[in-house]
Amino acid sequence: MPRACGPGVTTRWIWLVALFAQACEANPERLHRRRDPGALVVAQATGAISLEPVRVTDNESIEAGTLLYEGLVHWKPGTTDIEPGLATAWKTSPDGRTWTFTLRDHVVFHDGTACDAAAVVFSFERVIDPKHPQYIAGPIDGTYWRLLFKDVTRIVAIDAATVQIETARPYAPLLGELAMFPIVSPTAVATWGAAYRAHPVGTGPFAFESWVIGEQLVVHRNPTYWGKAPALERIVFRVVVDARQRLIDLESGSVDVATAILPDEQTFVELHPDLRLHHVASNDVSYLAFNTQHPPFDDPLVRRAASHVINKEPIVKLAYQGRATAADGPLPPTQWGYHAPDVKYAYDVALARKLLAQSKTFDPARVYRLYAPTTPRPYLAQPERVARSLAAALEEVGIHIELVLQPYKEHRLAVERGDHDLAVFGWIGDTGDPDNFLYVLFHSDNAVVGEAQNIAFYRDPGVDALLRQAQEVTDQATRSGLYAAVQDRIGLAAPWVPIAHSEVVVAARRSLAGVVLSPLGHPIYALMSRTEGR
Amino acid sequence: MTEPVLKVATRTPRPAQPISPELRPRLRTRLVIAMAIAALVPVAIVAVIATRVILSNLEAGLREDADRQLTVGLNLILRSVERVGDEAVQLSEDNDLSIAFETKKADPATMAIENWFAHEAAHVPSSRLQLIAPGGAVIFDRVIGGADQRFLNVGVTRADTETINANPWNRGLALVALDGVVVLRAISPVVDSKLALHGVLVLSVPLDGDFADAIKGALSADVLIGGRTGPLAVTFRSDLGKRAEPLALDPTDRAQALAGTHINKNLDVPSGHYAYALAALHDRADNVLGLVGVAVDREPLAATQRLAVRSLVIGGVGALGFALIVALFWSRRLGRPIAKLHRGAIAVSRGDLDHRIEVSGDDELTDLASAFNQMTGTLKDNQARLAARMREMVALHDAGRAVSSVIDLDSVSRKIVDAVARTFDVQVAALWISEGGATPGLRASAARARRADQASSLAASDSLAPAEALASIADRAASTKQPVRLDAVAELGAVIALPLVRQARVVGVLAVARAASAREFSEADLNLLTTFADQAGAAVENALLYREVRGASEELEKKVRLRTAELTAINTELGRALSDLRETQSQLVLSERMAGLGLLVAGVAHEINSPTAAIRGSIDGLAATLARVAKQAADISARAPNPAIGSAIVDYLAKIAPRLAERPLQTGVTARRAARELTAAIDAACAGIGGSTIVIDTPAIAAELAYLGSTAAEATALFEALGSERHLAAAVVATLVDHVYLHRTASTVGHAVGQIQRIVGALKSYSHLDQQPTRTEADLHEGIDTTLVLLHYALRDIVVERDYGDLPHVPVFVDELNHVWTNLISNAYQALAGKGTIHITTRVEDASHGADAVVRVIDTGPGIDPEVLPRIFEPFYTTKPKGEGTGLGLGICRQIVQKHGGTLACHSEPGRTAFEVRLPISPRGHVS
Repeated sequence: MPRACGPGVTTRWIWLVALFAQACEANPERLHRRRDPGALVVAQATGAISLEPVRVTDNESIEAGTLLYEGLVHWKPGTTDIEPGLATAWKTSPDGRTWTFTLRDHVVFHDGTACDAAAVVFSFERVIDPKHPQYIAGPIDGTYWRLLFKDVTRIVAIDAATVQIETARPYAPLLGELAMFPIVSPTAVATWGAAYRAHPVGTGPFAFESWVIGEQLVVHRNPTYWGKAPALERIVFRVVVDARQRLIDLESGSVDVATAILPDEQTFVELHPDLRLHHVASNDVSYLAFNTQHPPFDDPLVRRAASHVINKEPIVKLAYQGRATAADGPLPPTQWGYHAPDVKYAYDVALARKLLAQSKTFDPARVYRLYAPTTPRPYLAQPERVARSLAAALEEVGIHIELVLQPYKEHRLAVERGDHDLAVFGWIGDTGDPDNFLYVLFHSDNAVVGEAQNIAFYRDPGVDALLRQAQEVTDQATRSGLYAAVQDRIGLAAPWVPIAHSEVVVAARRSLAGVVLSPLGHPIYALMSRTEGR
Repeated sequence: MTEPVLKVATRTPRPAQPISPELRPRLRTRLVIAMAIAALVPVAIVAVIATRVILSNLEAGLREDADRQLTVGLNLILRSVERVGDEAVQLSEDNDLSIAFETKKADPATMAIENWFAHEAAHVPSSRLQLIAPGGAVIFDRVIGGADQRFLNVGVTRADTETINANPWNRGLALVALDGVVVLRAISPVVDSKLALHGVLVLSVPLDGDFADAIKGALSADVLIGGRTGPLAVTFRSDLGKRAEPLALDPTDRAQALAGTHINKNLDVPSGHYAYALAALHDRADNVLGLVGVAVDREPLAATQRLAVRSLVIGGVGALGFALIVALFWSRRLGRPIAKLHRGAIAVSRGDLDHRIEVSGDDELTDLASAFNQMTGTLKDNQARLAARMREMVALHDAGRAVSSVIDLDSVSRKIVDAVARTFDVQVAALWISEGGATPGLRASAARARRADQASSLAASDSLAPAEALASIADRAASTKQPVRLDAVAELGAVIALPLVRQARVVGVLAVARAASAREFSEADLNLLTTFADQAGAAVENALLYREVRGASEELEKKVRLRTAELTAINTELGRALSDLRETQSQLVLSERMAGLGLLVAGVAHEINSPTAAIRGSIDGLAATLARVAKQAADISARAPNPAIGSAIVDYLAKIAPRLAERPLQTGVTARRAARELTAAIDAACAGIGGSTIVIDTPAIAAELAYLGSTAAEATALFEALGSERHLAAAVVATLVDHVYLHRTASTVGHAVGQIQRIVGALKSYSHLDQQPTRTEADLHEGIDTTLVLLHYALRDIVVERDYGDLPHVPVFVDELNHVWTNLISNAYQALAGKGTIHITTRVEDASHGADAVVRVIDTGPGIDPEVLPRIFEPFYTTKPKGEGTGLGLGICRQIVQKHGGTLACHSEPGRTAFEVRLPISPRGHVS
């Protein structure tokens, strides 16, 4: 029996000693905080849908794309002003139809391949050239970009560091669009094919690490980034569907940034000693549009009278919880080209009545239908309430209103068809160019029944001419002048009552440094640094 | 014969093991200790590590708990704040309120609002509700939840209402610091559904102790809350439920907390021990308004800690106990077979080689037991073989001893044969002795044969017949001096013949034969036999030598007897001559003593003659004086009429006469001077008495008295005694003179008689007639002095100086030693020839054999002639003229001194001749 014990005892001793060593080594601190101190954790309401940048339009995918990819030009952080990106310089031909970009030297993709003119051409051609082997076909994928680039006729690589883009006509907003357009690694796209959406390779400050769809996306610092290396080693985008849970996680420190904070919770964040609410004027506008094709709103007098009865302050303060600024025009003040209109419609009920009295077409006996969505939109958190207050205000001066409240999808179809007399709607600019607002929302091109973006069905040849001209000159100052003229004309015509520009809110730990939000509402992670838990 | 062999084999029977096999504590103890340590060490290590981990985790956990509670607490506070805000919004957007406003615009603070308030505000948390009209006036002001002191000072002021009115649409929450208390303000415009403004509603709630209590209720941890300055309101409660005093915060902590650092520390206050975390409270504009803290009671965690430690200790002790039990069980199991082995070992050590250990199981101990059993068996076989060999050796040894114990050749031979036959179990044994002399060769000396019918013992027989068969073989052995070994000799069987060789000489041959049927001689037998043959050879040689020596010694004895007879005759003659010699010697001693006596008698006669003459002279004077005294007495009595005076005179005489007799007689000038003084004294006495006219011859009386040595007082006394009868004075004085004479004479006679007595005493002493002739402890000085007394006459012109030391009494023959003193002193004064000094000194001096009493008699005479000096102690040698000495004096003296064990020596030179007598103080002398 002792013979049998010999080796067993020895083994047990070794095992026991090893166990003790383990126990001695165990640092109690490790039992508590299991966070990677170099990683920033972002709690999002929903995850990215795809990391193939040109296929998506959802906010989270775009946000991830801004980390992984770069365009030929950049926005200056926190603004929509253009600065050099992958291209260090560019010029346009005298006719304004040829853009020549000089590429930055020695830029490489995350997979190590060079980001040269060919890669840039590849990135464009797979979107706009149906004959391209990697052409992104489909009714939805790439459509948005094809719409934006509909005037681009050709794109060529002059040499390894020079790219030329030709457009059918002079098209100044191209730069803003290029700031958003991602340059992808041709090698990676060719290698992964359809799976590229889960294996993105760009030149951005962060490189892809892992992605569990619907749960978590991880990116890490790009060690070969040409610009200033980000302070964060790693960013974890975690999907936390419940808004309350996002806040709790933020409060407990398990996440550093939480997006989509409910308006009700914002006070809490503001008062919380460990948290900070970051907000930036969003690149959007909410408005009450008059259907200028429907009497009596074809009469500018009526539209102006109605403009005078809308008191925007209570709406901003009460319906937006103060997280908005009252709008005096279609462009948000942060957008370049913004111009404070000459004509202002102060809250003046008496004047409104007087104006209405002058109108010949206004029929106080009629009831006008005001369409509004029931679904909250980023630019309008409480659409129904706003609609009611608007209706009440109009009733005040005798404009009888019938509210037509329906979900966003139906609402959108209805207003695009022009069913409404009045409609509450909004717009989110995404290229950072005034053209993106004014052309889309006021040009007669877009006042097509059934697919109208210009839901006021506002048609003004003068405005149309100005907008076209602004697209064709590249000089920003000139364009700003043109847009100012447009805004004055629109202000006078009053096809809208602009209501508010909302603010984008992001909650973050107070200890987080360098939080700057882009006008699109994304934190600029490359500038951020974590000081907590180190 | 087997017993001694066994004794040899088990020579050291160890005392039985002190530990009984059943107990076996040592092995078991060691096992138990080893297993206990094996359990204890890991248990201790695990316990220490676990305790460390638990404690550190608990401590960290406590901190973290405080932090977590702070997070939760902050959340709760902010939620409460939020709730107040929500309430304000809800109240302000209440349709009833806006309706109340609309309908009663003229008097807003009317029943409508009161009703609204009664309906709607009931569920609002305790706060102060104020409604401000668009003009800025406070139109409604109520405390929800009773008129509480808390809310008195928290309402909006005039300044506040102005601020609020400036932006009436501003809805929101604000924290306002008021007097050290943070007050929460929820402001909401009162609007109707069309967002028309009717006024502003303000809810104010102080974030004080009561507020904190509410948080505490939801948090289950204590809450601290307060403004930028001043103490923090706390929710600590005393045992009686009273709220503890607001906590004065350490300024450093406060500053840090206000700066946005989270404070996480331990807090010890009278109501308990906490870990607390502090965070700053700020408003929406990021202005820090105050501090919020959460304190977690450390006690439950401490209890958990204690519980964990206790559990570990109990677990550890349990594990240890279990290990001990297992250890005991195992040690018992292991110990049992070992105990069996131990018992077996003890049995074997006691000599029980038949002991076998029960073998069961299949392990090392079983193997050990089997091996032990095997060992015991082998041991037993070996012991048996050893015992047999030992027996033979002992038998041989005994035989050798027996053979050596006799020296007679025949006995030796028989013993040798017997011993061989007995020891080696042989049929025939025979011994031959080498004979020297005229016909050298072997001679059969002894033989033994076993008869066919006697199987076991050999027949004792004096017959040498059996030897004959072996004689030829014996001769061969003798001639070759080598053992002869034959395995099969006809009729005899195996034979061995051994020459007995001593110093290369064959002294005999020993042969044995064993029947063919019996065991053959083994190599061991041969070796043993050879060894025995050596002994036998020695014995035979000794016997031969003894035979020779005995013949020689008988011759010698005869010669000695003859010589002894001659010597005896001579001795007898010598004895006779010696007795003659002794007789002569004693006669000589006697004659010398007689010579000494003659000398003495002459001296004594002279000595006695002198006192005798003195006595005769005195006796002549005495007769005449006595006659005169008688006549004077009668005369005085006749002349004295007064008997009183007579008796006075007698008294005077009786008194004064003996006194005067002792005084020397006065003559010459002194007598005359005394006489004059006496005369004056007598005259004075007489004058004093007066009355008498009788004239007396005063000078004559005075002269007489002076002659007698009388003093004036004595003379005066005389005359006073006489009184008026002074004419008797002369007669009385004359009588006095006679009286004095009588006394003097009597004294002289007494003296002389004393002298005679002394001399007679000295003689007696000298001759020691009254003493036994034995040694007595005597004072040597006494003897010397006696001698000097006896020789007083002879020494009359010699100065004798005695220098006596402190001698003890010495045991001596006193009269014999007195002869020595007499002889030495006589020789000395003879040498001095009547003039000189004799020194006599006595001392105690150390000598080699002890202390000596040394007496030296030294004279200042001319000394002894050096030629004579060596001979002075020879008998009959004298330097004196014939007839004066016998010449035996000093010789006998020396003999006497030697008899005392002492020495007599002489050193002489002109002017100093010393004789030295040394006598041992402790006697060691001999009596011849």
